[in-house]
Amino acid sequence: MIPKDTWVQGNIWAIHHSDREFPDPDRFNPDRFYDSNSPDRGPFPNEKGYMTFGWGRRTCVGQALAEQGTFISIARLLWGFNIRKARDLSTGEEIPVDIFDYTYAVFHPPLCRTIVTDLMDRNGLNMRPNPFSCAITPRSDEIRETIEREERDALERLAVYNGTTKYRMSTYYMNSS
Amino acid sequence: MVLACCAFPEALVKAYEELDRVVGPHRSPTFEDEPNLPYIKAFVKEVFRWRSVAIIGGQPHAPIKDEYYKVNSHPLLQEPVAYRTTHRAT
Repeated sequence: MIPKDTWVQGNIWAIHHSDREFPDPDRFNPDRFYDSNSPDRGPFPNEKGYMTFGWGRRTCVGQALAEQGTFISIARLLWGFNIRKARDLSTGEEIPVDIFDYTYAVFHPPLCRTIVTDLMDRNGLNMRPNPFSCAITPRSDEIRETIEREERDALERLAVYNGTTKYRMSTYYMNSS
Repeated sequence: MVLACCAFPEALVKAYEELDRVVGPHRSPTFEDEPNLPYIKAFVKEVFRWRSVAIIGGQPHAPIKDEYYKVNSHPLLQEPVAYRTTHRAT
């Protein structure tokens, strides 16, 4: 029985980490979605294969924007950079990363609804990784030159907007540092 | 996504191969490349699955009366759950 006025929400973490739909669910494995016959993916009740943006009529209104923005950001990051574990400068050893070190730490399933209050007290209902070391370098000199050239081009194209606001990228970096 | 790249470098092999083949080093990828980057699209989906930003998701709902699920012939999904509480809260 669900009593009147009970707050009900979907447990996306548990849905996305069910090993019936996503075998070995903690492994990051794009092949699940690359090959429609992938053994790493079971049947899923919607076409996209994830429920990150909610369900039904009240699904996230920003879904398309977020999906497109995430696509172009990831495509360009991967195109441009090697992204790998950092190395300890004194020993040369790779510094390990912890894939569970997130702003909410206790999230092995089952996530039961009693922890919702705890989640909200700490970090809201969103989570993000805690700071970790990594090494991000251009994949080649040619790519580095392309990035620098496209940056100059972009600044030139955007120059027509100079003066339309007092806000500058430098303002952003000042505020965030 | 960055954490995934650090922890699962094997996922990057096909991504780099696809980007080198479809885009090359002399320009960055654009939306026009999307149909030709199926592995990158799969990579993005796996990012959404592996670590959704909102782990408790969807608009909160609440039944306006006591609901019985899988108890009698009155399953929750046949009786639309109303949104009154949500509206009142926001």
